[in-house]
Amino acid sequence: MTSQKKIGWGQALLILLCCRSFGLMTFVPLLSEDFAISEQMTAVVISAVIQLVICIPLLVFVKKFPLTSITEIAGRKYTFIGFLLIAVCFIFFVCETADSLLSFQIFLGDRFFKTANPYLWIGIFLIICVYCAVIGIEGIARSSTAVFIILIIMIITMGVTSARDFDPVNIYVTAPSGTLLFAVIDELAKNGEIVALAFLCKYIPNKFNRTVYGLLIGKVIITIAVLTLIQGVLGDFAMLTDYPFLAVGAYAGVNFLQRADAVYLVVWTMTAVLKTALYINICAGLLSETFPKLRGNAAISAVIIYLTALPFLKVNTTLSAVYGSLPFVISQIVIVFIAPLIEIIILRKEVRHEKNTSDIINDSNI
Amino acid sequence: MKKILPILLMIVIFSGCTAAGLQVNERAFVQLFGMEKSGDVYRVYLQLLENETVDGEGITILGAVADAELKQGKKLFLGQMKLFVIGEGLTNLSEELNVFLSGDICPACPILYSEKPEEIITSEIPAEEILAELNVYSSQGKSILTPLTEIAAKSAGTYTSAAVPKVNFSDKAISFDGLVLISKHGKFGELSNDDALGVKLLCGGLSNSDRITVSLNIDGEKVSGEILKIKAKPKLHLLDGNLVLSENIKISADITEKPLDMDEGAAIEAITVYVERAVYEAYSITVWELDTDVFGLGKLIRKHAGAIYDSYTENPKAFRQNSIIDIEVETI
Repeated sequence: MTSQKKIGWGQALLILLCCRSFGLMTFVPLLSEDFAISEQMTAVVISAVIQLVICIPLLVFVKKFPLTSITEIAGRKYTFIGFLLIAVCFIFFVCETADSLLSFQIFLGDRFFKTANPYLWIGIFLIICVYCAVIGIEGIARSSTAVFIILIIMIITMGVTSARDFDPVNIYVTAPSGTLLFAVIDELAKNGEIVALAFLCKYIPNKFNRTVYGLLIGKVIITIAVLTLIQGVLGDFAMLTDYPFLAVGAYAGVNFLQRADAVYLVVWTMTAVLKTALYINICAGLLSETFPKLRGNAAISAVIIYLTALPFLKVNTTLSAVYGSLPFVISQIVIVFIAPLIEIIILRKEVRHEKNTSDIINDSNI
Repeated sequence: MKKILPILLMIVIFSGCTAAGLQVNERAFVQLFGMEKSGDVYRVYLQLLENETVDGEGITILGAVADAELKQGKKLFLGQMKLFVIGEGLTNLSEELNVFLSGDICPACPILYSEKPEEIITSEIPAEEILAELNVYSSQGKSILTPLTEIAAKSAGTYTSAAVPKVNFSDKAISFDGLVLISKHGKFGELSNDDALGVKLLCGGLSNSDRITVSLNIDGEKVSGEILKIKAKPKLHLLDGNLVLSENIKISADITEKPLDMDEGAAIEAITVYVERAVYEAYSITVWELDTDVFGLGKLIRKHAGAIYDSYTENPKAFRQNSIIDIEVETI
């Protein structure tokens, strides 16, 4: 099936980098006396390599079945299994979006809007994101280009204005310890954007592999840059603060802007909108694959996300805090690695069987 | 409908804050914050905009702040604070300062020490003036700027401490009288203004705008100069199991006054000797005499000699007492 909406591989890359950057804003590095920054950086690189391996079946899948998502093929060919896969994907994106919203709400409630009503706030936020999702992937792609440029300017500005407070002595290397595995799993769980790749691929007409490689390289660079900034500027203070990236932002004010953290909040909110809108768009797409005649899929998805987040909102926690990182990692592997791999193997066997059958028919005709 | 929807959304979103929001005139903007403890009671002294002052007391710091808020009648806003003055009696500084690390106060807010914070806050000298005076002292190498982050991090460690400027108020004027050393359990040592240059060099807190004036007396003759540029690069290595801190300092100096028969090179040499001595004195007092880590010795070990870091944390005193400082001052 050919999708009518198309975006470039670069636009897809920027959308996903914006999604990853949102997670970095409220990123709390696993820093402690036993857990050095070098170990966190090593975990970032290792997780990128693991994700590259996870993406291999998806890359092959896209080459064989361009402009199609994994659920479209599965749904078309195998009704029950396709439905199961759609359900798994839908649940993943609902949980991932709810988790992002909850972590953003906790952050905003802790630091900026202590007395704001979180239920109302998240509801309004979701309404905006539904509107953005309804506009479509092309609108999201165009917005992400602008947001990404602003994001890079922000990170560069933070780096430049906090340069005099940067102390290279704060950056040190330790030998990897037993906590490296934990850090790698934690890092993998934070990188749910590769699952979005399995659905954005249907909009990308060519050079999809560049999106994948660009995403993995880009997020390693951005994450390490942010970690370096946090540790270099804050030093041991990074272990004491709840939101080190915000602390760097507050530290790095210039003369006319005493505190820059409010400016950064604007960028963070924009990346939050992009990420939520993208995921709602994907959820809406999954609903329309299952129930083609259903209307208001984006709004229905948003309601489901809100209802999923509600119980966690009540106790002021996130899904990942309750269930850990492992479910998110396993979901990534199932959706991005196993599902495309199975589809490639099964469909290749079917194609071979059909080819053999047609060869036999041709031979008998001769 | 698609065109009307964003307009409707904007009407909802831009329809103003909820009742829980505060207007600007309902807030009191704190410029200067003083804190001390007497017995079990915390006392806070706040200087607001237009030199208005208010104080509060409570069993906890937040209780004292709430008391000040009640007296003042407005919600306090700490985000514009320019200086933080700590006083006597604070014996659990890392936890006491932790209250302020939630983002309310700018992490770069400089910290001062005073034996009587109330005098500083109620002196009617605006916070900007005190900060400007501190910057002048600091740029002349007579004091340093210690941000909240540094003191919070160093007071959290069991073997680290921070050097904080000591501020006095007398004869209607503010002055900075040396440095105090603050650890996890409060103040435990003092350094003079003359030691501040050495501390500043060892802490790496020099900037391009610093202009350090040096006035020496050599054989009864006055030699004055100005250090225009100074760069310090500390390195650490081990020698026979002892820590050796190598401090390579490069200075660029101008001689403003010297005896006629003295060579300019000799005058600059005198200044380099002065700088070397300042660094040696600062290290000697803090590391050998007071047995504390102000300059990030632990961080240097962690970076350059990571293999012995665990041993250092177990017995820092032994390492510090046997440490050696190797200072090299060059002119550029």
